[in-house]
Amino acid sequence: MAFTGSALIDSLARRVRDTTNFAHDRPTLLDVLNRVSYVLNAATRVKLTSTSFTPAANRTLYQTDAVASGILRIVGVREAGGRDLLEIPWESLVLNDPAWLHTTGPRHEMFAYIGRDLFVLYPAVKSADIAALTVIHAKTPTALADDAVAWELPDDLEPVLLDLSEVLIYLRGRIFSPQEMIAAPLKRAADALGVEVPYAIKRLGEGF
Amino acid sequence: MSRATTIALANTLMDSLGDTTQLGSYYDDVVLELGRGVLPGVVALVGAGFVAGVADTGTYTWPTTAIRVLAVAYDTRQLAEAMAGEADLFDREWRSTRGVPIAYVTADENQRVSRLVPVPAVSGVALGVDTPFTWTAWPGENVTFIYTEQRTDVHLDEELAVALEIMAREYSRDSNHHDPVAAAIAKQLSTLFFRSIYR
Repeated sequence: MAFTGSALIDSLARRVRDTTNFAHDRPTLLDVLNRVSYVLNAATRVKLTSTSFTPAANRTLYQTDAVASGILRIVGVREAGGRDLLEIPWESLVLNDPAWLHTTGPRHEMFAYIGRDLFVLYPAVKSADIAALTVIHAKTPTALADDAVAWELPDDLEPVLLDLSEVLIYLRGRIFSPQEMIAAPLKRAADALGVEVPYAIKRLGEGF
Repeated sequence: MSRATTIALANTLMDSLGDTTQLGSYYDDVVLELGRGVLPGVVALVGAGFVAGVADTGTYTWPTTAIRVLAVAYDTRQLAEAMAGEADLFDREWRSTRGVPIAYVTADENQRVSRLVPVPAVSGVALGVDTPFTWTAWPGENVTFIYTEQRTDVHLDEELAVALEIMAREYSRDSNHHDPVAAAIAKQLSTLFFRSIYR
């Protein structure tokens, strides 16, 4: 089953015991659900898309925005023939070739991410060798609306979406008692995402 | 994806209790701290820019928006970062010796300035409006800086984490909505979201 925007708002309202949307109106719940969705796909990179990208002659350094807007993370760069470029840490470029900024070769061999905003295609190719590449990237999920359009992320992430959204709504209302109301969904969400629960939240059950 | 939307998000999550001017000030602080690399493993808000290479000029000021320099290149070559003492071992006259730069020194220089070692012997090709992302003919013998930069638009998926961080600061300060428990939870949620995005 696919979750829709309206159904997710209803579920979140039920979780925070506000089914009439008295304390938290539906647009606010929707905004929180969308914000958490963006983080979820940045973290899990499950919703991918491909964009064709034609590099410039002799150039190695590019802005991620030049490929497409709303890229959360580039996960691969592929040649037309299906060959994947090897991803390397950008700090390794100088060890391999100090002149990486302007080295040219017959074809791209590697790509490297610098932060999230820049990436390197190494080596650059001359104009005669330019061919379109396919950039595979995690995309910003399409914003949900309060309607029957399905959520883009997989169903198994719905509990994590609701857990994190629930905590944010409790924070908005500054409802912290009993403390397990916050600690339990956060622990579930952090476990699902494979990140460490921050120390103070671990201590929530023990009181501040 | 703007400063204003992030501040509005923070205020929404504070149920409109926040002082929006103060939230804006905290937003600017958080962006500067992200650029300075206060979060382990997070290299956020990266940019690059050319600075014109000038013959017999050793010092180069960083681009105006730069917060922390990640790499410096002269012409096509990425330079090694060196301490003044290392440059001294290379050449006691390193501040005036002319040649093709192989390293840069930032320590012991004025703020936001790096000194190339040795000093460039020639001036670079005129840059015009070229940037590291737009040039068509390589503008040789110039300096390229890659750096974290100050911005007013963090990425869309980072807005929630930034909003929570500025909420934590707003709830922490002395005010009629001072709330240390909400501040602690907002801070930890911000950390959780940043860790999720940048793992």
